[in-house]
Amino acid sequence: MKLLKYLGFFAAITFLGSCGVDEEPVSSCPELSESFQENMFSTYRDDIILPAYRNAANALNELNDAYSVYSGSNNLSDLTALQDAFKQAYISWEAAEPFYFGPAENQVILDHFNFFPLELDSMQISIDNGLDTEKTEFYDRGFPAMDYLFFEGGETIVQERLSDEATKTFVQANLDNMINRLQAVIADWEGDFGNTFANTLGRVDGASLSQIINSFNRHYETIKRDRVGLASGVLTLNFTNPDVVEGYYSGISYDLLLASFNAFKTYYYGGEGTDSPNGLYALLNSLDIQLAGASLAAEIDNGIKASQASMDLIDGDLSIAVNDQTAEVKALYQNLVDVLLLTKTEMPTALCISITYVDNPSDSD
Amino acid sequence: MDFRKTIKESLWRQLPIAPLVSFRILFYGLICFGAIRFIYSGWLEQLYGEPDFYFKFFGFHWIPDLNADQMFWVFVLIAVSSLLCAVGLFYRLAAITCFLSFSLYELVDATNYLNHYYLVILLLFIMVFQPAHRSFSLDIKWLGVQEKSHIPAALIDLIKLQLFVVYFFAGLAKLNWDWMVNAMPLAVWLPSKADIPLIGGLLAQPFFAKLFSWSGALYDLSIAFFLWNKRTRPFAYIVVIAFHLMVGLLFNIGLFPAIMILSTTIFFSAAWHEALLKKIGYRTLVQTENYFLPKRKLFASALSVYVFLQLLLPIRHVVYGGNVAWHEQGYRFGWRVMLVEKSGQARFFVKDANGEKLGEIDNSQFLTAYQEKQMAIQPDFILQYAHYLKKYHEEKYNLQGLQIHCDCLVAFNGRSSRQLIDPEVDLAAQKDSWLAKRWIQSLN
Repeated sequence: MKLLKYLGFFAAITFLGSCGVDEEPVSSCPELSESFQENMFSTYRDDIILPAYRNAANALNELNDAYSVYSGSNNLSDLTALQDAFKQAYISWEAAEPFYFGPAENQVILDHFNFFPLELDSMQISIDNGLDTEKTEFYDRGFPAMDYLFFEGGETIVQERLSDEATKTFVQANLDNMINRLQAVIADWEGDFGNTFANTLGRVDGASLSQIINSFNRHYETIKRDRVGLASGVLTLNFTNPDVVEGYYSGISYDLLLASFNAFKTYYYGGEGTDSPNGLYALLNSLDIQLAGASLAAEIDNGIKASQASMDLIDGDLSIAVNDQTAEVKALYQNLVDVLLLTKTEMPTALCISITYVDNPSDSD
Repeated sequence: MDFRKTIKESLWRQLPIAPLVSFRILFYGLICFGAIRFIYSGWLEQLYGEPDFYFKFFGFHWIPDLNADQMFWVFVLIAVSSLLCAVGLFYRLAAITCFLSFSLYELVDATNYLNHYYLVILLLFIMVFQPAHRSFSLDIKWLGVQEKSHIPAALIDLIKLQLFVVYFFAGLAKLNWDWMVNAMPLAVWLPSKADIPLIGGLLAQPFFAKLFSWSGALYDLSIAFFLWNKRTRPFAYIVVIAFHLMVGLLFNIGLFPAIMILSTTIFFSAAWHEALLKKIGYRTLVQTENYFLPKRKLFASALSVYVFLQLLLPIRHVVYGGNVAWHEQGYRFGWRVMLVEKSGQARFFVKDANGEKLGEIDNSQFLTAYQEKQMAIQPDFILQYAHYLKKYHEEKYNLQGLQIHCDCLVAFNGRSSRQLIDPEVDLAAQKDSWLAKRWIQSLN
């Protein structure tokens, strides 16, 4: 008993010692309105995600048709039509790319659609040996592969390249793979998964809000790092890397960046802008989440507007701008970083949502 | 004098060996299962196949970086040696091998540190010195090792004491403002488990986080006492099972519940263990054969040092002041379990010798996403990484005197994010040591 008394005394001292008078109250998890969540998830499913996937699928089908026409004719005007269809399909895809969870994750769709920059050697191996559609984490396929095959070297070289039988087989296999996977994703969203998504309320890992916030941030990191950071030289001791931009060969890197950023904005607002009643912006506002006395929703909104303003200062091709407009591109990167802190750290903390896409693959404690 | 005599007599009195035999079979059996589970889960490739850089514990930078293939053989070694220990064949050699190989696994990349793996290492270390193969073992059956029926109580008490330390200091660590008053981080974690059948609705209630926090602290502080006491032991063990199953259900903590549920059987009487072991063919010796420690005085001295260290390590953080869960100086090896919800973003900048910014680091070039997440909240990892970045860039670009600065914002237990590291400090010029790290910003 004497020992117990000593230990109790020791515990009391430790407790008192660890509770200073400057301890601050911390925010507890805000209660999430069920009706808000229901409206929010329905809006995301019906007005944002499914339309984005359907548009991407339509554009991809048109690209496939354009490729069929060109394969049959090999003439220059059909090549131009093919290139236009490619640009349209790539830009359409940007609106669908952020929703990387559920069906998209099951289809590993990012790996098959838009792992860039392209690895030429890997693509050549896939052209020579045939595209293995089950392989993932290979930078040999999707839009980046077509970006090279349809544009690099100019029209004559492209026409010559696309007349090669192995290349033709590869392009068709690549398109078929993309179309099949996207159709499977859409089917899931139109079916069981879409219903589950609309009705999985709360903040448990894997619930719809968690999936939205995790995929939202994961996508935003690709804008910051892959689309701007690496090319700008910010992450490579000021040595710029213009050839790693998205859509390098087709010269649409800026359009793709813009489309990607617009998709991010739509994801945040739950629609066109701050008037949308069912997005993350409205959710943060409805919960009155504050950061150092300011509205977190408004802080993110301001950050997005600042990023947009920096983006507007860039003229055309990003691969050129990284060298010609270094200061503007770096300012854009910095604005993107500022937003990420708010969306990836502050927002999940305030909403009590875990960022799970970087969790330990094994156990924890 | 009487007290010392009583302690001595209590430590060296001879007790039946059965509890140690049960512990050997259960504990090593679990380690073997865990190693096989690890190999088959695909974690080896993810944890050791992807990184280019590994973090080390202070003083263990000499541990080699092993890749996934090499780690596979480390785990084979753990599995085989633990199996040999469980059946008591080549026990001493196998116990040493198991201890070393498991320790190597934990030391290769410190981002994988888990409190319960640290406990496993300590128990494996203790088991190296135990005569656990002196009964019901293949060493006796095949190699003619002399069988013993009794061992000094100190040997079994050492395992009990180790478990006591884990529980008690885990409880002590919970006696802080965040845990007891703010119910953090459970107030954040439990609602994320609201989809669990039956109890899910409760978990989402704010009062439940507080209830869980207080009962968790009470449990940790008291359970070892109740297990030690003969009268309260059966009830306490039921609580142990219920508590760990509950925690195992709620959190991804792997083998920890099983380790504690099986290890705490050591508190039961020899008769209880003999009855248990008889079900698998155990028999007690007709004649009493006592096991005497060959170098009792040396053992007693080593034991004192070990116990002293075990009592000192968990409280060493008081030397540093501030909030240990924030600055993490003296955090590890202190049984500070499940106390922290932290997320951070660490940006590193390379500057030339004059402080002119040359660029920012793309962390994903060097670290896996999980390593980056762990690094961004632990100052000693940030320092290690900064040193690595300096070396890497100086070698790659043939530069000298590069500075590495870190802009690290961390959100901690429900607070908005704030600077963990002084961004003005050149981390490449800082050395890691036991001394307080002045470049860590205070929480408040």
